[in-house]
Amino acid sequence: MSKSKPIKKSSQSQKPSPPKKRVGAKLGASHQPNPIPDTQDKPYGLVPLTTQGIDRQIPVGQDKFKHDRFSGKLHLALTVQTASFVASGVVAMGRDVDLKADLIKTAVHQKNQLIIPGSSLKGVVRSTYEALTRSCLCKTKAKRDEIPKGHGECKIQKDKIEVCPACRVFGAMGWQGLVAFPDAVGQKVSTSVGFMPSLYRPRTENPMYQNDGKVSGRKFYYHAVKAVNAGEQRGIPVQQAGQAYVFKTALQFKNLTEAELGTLLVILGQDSDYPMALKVGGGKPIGMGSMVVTVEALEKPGNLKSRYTHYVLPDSDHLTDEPLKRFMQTAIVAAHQTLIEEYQLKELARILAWPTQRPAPEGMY
Amino acid sequence: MSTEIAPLELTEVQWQVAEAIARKLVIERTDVNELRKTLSYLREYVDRENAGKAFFDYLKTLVRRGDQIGHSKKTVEYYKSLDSICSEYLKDYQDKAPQILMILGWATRLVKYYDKGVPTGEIQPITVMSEREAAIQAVTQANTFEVGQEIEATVAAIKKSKVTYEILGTIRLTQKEPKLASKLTEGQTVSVYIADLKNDGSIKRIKGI
Repeated sequence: MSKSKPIKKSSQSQKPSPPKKRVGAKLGASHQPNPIPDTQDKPYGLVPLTTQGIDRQIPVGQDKFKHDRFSGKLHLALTVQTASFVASGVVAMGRDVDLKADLIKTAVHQKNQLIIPGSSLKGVVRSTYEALTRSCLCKTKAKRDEIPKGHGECKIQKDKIEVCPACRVFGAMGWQGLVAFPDAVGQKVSTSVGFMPSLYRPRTENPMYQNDGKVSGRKFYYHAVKAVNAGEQRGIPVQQAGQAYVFKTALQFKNLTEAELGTLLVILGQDSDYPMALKVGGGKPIGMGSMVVTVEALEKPGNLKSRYTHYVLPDSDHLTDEPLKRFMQTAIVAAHQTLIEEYQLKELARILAWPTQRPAPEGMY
Repeated sequence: MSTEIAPLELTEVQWQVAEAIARKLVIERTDVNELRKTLSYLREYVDRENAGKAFFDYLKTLVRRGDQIGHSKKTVEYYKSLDSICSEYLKDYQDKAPQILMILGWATRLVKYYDKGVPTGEIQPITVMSEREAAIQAVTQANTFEVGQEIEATVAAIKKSKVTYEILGTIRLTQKEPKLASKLTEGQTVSVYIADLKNDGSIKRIKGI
């Protein structure tokens, strides 16, 4: 999944129908959504910014566990669907990583077990969370005067701590978030060589990014049936995780509301109405990095006090199978009711839909 | 708990090597980012056996197959430049990968200074002596030698009629000794006399007695 890069839209794009107003939602000055920029046959789509205004509230923090909120761990398995590559930044000789290639761009790994750094995964999930909620536009390279009014980065001030939904969960400058992403570790010592063609830089000067000089949306790459493999002569050899390679991690969370947890679950593709996959690492335009998430278990201490006096959680606090499904379903419903912007979700689910029949672009895109 | 950090200081000669590399990189307009990439490689594998030798193999591979990973035709030229500069200045450190890492690390920093702080036309390459040359120079400066002077030497090596003497624990000189070679053994301490001096006063030739 792409980091949210600021997109400004085309002046010739179609205007979609406005979203349904949600009961009790705080409304901003304008209720019209930004028109969806026309990305034509590009390998990415654009999720318009919310027009409901940023929903800034006092964050709950971590100073103590709240009994009316959820704390615990989500055990996740990420199964690679299309070749994936999280670059370590080191170009090595093939023999250094037991692979047949003269030179190879290596992935982040430990003893040939591939790793997705927790920070990479957090970025992927955060950018999606921002797009789905009434959150600020902060993780961006856009200039300050290109940010639409009211969408600027949340600021922590001494006398007034109010931040957007994404900053409440993932943190802001000067404020620690409620979720922690440890590294996702590959489950077997097996990697393969893939070949990635040279990619093109983002053309931010393209008029499709323009909406009266302001950023109008967030950019996400489509999934593809299969990643482009340009072949040895044309591609850059990369150390990749092949199809069916599995990464595992345990996402830790503290003091989340049911809706916040539900939104995370929607992003992780657990909402059957909006089946989605994550897009992680390099080569996104050419179909790389699609991963389907399975929530294997949820640890959720029912009694926070007893959690500190017992090393092992009781079975009732360790949800799997049917109880886990029921819990996730309830949380997802809460997310739809109070946190998720349905219009943005529809657009995002269209872009990140999985499974897909979409081919990856072979040539110029 | 205290954490001890190993001393990470360069010797005077290593500083000169770092400076010479930096100057050469700027003169040849080599992209310092490519040097940084090779440093990342060395840092990743510095702890393994023969890391220094593998580093030189790596530079050769970059020259040979750099077009695979490069983004422009210039990239391979940069790799050629890096390979020749490292071969020129760092061969003595082939068995000391951590020292290569330190020297190149400082060279990348110095590149910034020479690139931005000094007009390119004014930068001249400098010649640097090896660690061994520096040690010999130090011994020469600390002693006064004369032709005919007798001194003690250790037989460091014997190859057919050639004998390598080591004097003052540093200076090694090889001399044809057809009459003596068969009588000497390696490690033996013998007396030699100075047969010739260089212009700077250092020993050019010694003969066994």
